[in-house]
Amino acid sequence: MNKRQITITSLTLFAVALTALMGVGVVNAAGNPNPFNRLFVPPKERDTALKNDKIHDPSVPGLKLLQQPKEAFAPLPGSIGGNYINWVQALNKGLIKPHFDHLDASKEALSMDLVIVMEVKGSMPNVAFPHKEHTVWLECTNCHDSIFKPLKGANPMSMAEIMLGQKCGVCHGSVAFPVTECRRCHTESKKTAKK
Amino acid sequence: MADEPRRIITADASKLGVGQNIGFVEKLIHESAAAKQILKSDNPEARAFQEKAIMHLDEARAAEKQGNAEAVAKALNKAKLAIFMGMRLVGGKVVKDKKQENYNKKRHSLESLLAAHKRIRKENESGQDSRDAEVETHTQKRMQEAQAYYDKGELIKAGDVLNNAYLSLKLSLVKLRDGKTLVRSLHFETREDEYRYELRRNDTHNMLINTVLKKKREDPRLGKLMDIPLKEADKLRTEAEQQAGSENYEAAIKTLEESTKHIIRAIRMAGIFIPG
Repeated sequence: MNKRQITITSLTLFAVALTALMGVGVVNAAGNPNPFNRLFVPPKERDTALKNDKIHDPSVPGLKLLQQPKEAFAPLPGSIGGNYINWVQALNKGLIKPHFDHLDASKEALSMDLVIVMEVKGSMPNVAFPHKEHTVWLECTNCHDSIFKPLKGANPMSMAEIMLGQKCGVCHGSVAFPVTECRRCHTESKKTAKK
Repeated sequence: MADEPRRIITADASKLGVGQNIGFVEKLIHESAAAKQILKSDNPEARAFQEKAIMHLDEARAAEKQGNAEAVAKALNKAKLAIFMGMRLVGGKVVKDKKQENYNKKRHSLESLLAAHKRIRKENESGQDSRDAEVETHTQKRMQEAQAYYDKGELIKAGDVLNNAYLSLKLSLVKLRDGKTLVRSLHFETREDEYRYELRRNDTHNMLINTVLKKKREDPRLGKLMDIPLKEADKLRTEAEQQAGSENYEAAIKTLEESTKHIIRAIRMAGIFIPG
């Protein structure tokens, strides 16, 4: 086994370790139907039916009008965690076409292709944050600056914070892929980082 | 794969039956509390949306007579969208509060993006474009204009002006930053900052022990084995905190690094290999 294979294996194992968080349920804010670790549910325990998702009111007759996620998600590319959909791929392939403005279907997203590489201590690869994949869904104002200040060095963070639903954890783990998918963020080899 | 992207929410005639669907939307347009609120209001825009919804409902009924379920679904979706737009215009205090909240949030965000724009423009001094500075002046003027509308209670106009300012600033930011990769080096201003970083790293690994490995630790044999490095880690963490307490951050960092290594050792003992 070469060094690269070892790194990938170790990251996979780390992902498996974090997946075990699923059953533990680290933090569940009382009364919050969309807690940060909602997507940590292990595959065997997943029940995507709208009446059981604890977000929709099962007593509302109109619930029957909504398409069930199982049916809606079937044609979309899969992922190894979260709700098991790779949404970025789905968007890039044109399989979904979300309205950028819910009141104006003609509006298109203005994305920004800026990557921020964040160095980390230890042997874990550095984090590469791609603005492009985020700005095709979100406005700058969604994150700046209520979550992140648009200023170099102003956003110290740790995995502990993220796992507790802060910083990236505001979305990742609740409505975006969870932190169990280490390799989707820790992508930048320490050797290739340019300053 | 379907040719057209599918929407998650659909008025699927097969789920409730076409007639039931039409009845549901009819109630929404004529009998719901919001529909009554539109009727009571003197807001012509909201009334126009309600009229539009009624028109689409009629289209749905006509399509039903022709047995065209797809056209029914489309017309009903348009009817629902129209009535929802109308509802938003007469939403009373809730809508007003939301508009105020959105305005203030966007304004705050715009201020920070404008500050970022100024910083980036100064960083790019070699390739300066006079239009970048003009965008800043334009944004500031539009923000003042928006605030004047806001102060007069004209929230829609205030929001529109702010949105326009936001768009032009965003365009300029994209021009300045697009295609770039910025590396945020791990640089600590002070030893205390580095100590804080190490504390967070130590917390993260401790969190794994207390969550992921909680059940494994309950195994008497494995638990006993894991306890050895974990006790050492605890001891070192306390020691590091004492060192930091006497402002010996350099020693505290080294001690904390050792503490984290012991936690990693315990995690690996439990059969999970994580990078150090």
